[in-house]
Amino acid sequence: MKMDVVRMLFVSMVVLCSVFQFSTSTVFSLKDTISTRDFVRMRKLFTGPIQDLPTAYQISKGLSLMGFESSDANIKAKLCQMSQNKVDVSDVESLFYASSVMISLGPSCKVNFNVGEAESTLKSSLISGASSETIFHSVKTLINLGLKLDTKAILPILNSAVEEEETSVSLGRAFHIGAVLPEIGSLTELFEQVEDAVARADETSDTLYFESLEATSLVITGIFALADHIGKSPLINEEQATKFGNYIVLSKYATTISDAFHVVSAATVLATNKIVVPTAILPLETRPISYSNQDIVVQLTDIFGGEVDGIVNVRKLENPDGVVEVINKPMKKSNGVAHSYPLFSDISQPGEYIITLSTESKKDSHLVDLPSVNINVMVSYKLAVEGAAVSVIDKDQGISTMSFSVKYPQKAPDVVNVDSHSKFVVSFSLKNMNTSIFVTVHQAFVKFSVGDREIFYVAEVDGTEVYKVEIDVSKVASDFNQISGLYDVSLIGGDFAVENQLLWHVCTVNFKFPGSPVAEKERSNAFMPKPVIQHLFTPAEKRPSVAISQSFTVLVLTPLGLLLILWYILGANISNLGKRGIWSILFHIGLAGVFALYYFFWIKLNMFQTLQYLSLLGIITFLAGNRMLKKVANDGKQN
Amino acid sequence: MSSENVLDIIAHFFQQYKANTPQKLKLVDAYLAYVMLTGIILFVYCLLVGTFPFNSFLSAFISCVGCFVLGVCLRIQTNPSNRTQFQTISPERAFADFIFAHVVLHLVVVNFIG
Repeated sequence: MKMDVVRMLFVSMVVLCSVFQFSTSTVFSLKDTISTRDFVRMRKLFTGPIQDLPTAYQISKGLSLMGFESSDANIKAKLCQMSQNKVDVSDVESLFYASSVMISLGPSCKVNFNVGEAESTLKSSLISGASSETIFHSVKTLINLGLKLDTKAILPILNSAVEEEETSVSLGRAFHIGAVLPEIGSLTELFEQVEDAVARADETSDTLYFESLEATSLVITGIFALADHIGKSPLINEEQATKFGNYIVLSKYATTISDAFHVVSAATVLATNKIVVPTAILPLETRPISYSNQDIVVQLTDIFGGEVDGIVNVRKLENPDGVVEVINKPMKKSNGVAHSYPLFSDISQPGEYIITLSTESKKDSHLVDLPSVNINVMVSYKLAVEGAAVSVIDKDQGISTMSFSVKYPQKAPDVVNVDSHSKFVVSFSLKNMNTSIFVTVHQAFVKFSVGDREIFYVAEVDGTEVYKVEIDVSKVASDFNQISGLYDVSLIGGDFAVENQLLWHVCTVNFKFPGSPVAEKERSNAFMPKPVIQHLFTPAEKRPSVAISQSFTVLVLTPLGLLLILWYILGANISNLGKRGIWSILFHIGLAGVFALYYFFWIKLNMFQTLQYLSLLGIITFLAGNRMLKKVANDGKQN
Repeated sequence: MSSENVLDIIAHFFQQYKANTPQKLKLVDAYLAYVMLTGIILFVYCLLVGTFPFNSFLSAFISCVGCFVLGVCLRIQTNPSNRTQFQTISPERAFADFIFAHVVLHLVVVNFIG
């Protein structure tokens, strides 16, 4: 029993793991492709002015990847001329660019320089401590010029450069260098770094990338070049290749020659390599499916929007209610990239559908097979209106005093008069024109309009698939601003799944509202400038007049005079002032100084300065006062 | 009858005051009367023209009140008939306290007057 339980647990764990394997395989279509327009636009960038030698290299390589045309003869001559002018046998970088231009342009371009001197410059740059950029330029130039390479000497220099620089650009360069070194056996260690490099890339839900477009392009082209050279398949799976592809396509609106060059290099590798080629399924027909447009059309392409060899199958269809129908039929391939399927035969109702597609390619093709791609499809229909009827019902008697029907698209010839005793009723039905089934739509209104005034009422279905609007004249007068008169009555019907919106002027009605008409508020145009606001500063407080304040100043000082008089009357002892000695004089001066300081504090000083001066004066005054009072006390005691 | 009494009392009060109050205290009393009068005039002015700027009015009024209070303190402490209650505080000490308190009071007043 115990063994059975253990075995069951083991089996269920294995099953779970395999389920997880399936669910983590998220191969999907490229989000976008480089269309013909983008291709032409980027190619046009390459025909721009050739600023310097690096630009010449990028232009020549870019154009050779995109394919030279006969009209490029002029550009080719200019590129060759630039290389001839700027090549310098003592500079590794310029030798790289010049030799690469020669290779890209073919035998029509010959740049002349001393090959012997060039060779010695190149060989002397491949020393320990060289940067990955220098090694890259040297090795590539030696290959371009058909000179010999010593793999065993180069590899350790390369490894130490990559280890020291620690950037993805240097790793990309290393892959490119490995892709041209002759002794394949010694490249296994470099090849194993591919998996690490890809694992270190930054990731979003749709893209994989390194720190820049240049780095990403260099690494992608390097990986595939190295894999092709060695003859092994790199550990980069379909999902990763597609995500790299998505990142490259994001930059297809490149505006510089450099960016366009990186996009074209990486995209070319992703479309033409023999290991994994990302594919895209994108809708080709954007009109909704309907009676007049019954096929859904998609395109199955590579990253350049070019034709690929594969079949597209329709797997499932989910209708607007969420019901999924399994179909499993192949799409028909028309010429070029289009695949179509007559979806209309599987449609039961209008609305938004989700169709699931899958692709299949031949066993030895390197295309990424997409197990399920969801595409949203809109199915629309034509709307027809039926049974439109207008009637006037007397409220008190409950019978209709006037009733007639109108046939679309005619208009009732007579004006309908309605006053406040009656109700005005409009009713109509909406149908799908092709299937004649009654439908309800998102927007069904009845509009009353005159001039530029419009009053809308929402039409509601009363259960029997008939839309109705009832206007009780006495109650709705405020909607119309009590302005009586002629109004045009129109029916409006619309929906996102409807091809032809309904706007039908049915009849004209003459309303007599109770009460007096209210003038419509002047509808100020919302786009004219608003009235200017004048800023008002808070008004100053009212001050008393100068006369009053001056007189009160005098009044406040009069008690001082009174005080002096009183003191004189009482016989204040002023004569004793001098007799008390120097300290008393000093004390009085100090005290007067303190109050003078306070006056200056009020006028211009701040608290800190005042406190500083006060501490000084205060000490003097205190000491003087202390001595003075001691003297007074002693004099008093003696007396 | 009663009005005569009131006037009599007042006259008697002044007479006693003149006779019995030491001269120094009379000087201080004059000072106190001056301060009070100034305070009243300030208050009337404020009632007349309003409280703007309020900080200035407050500072002036508080200065009057403060001076009055300190003057009263000085009078109490230097009054010879109170000597038994203020044995540790000599009149000179009272005067020194008076001056010191005034210095601090006027610093605050001038700061607040704005």
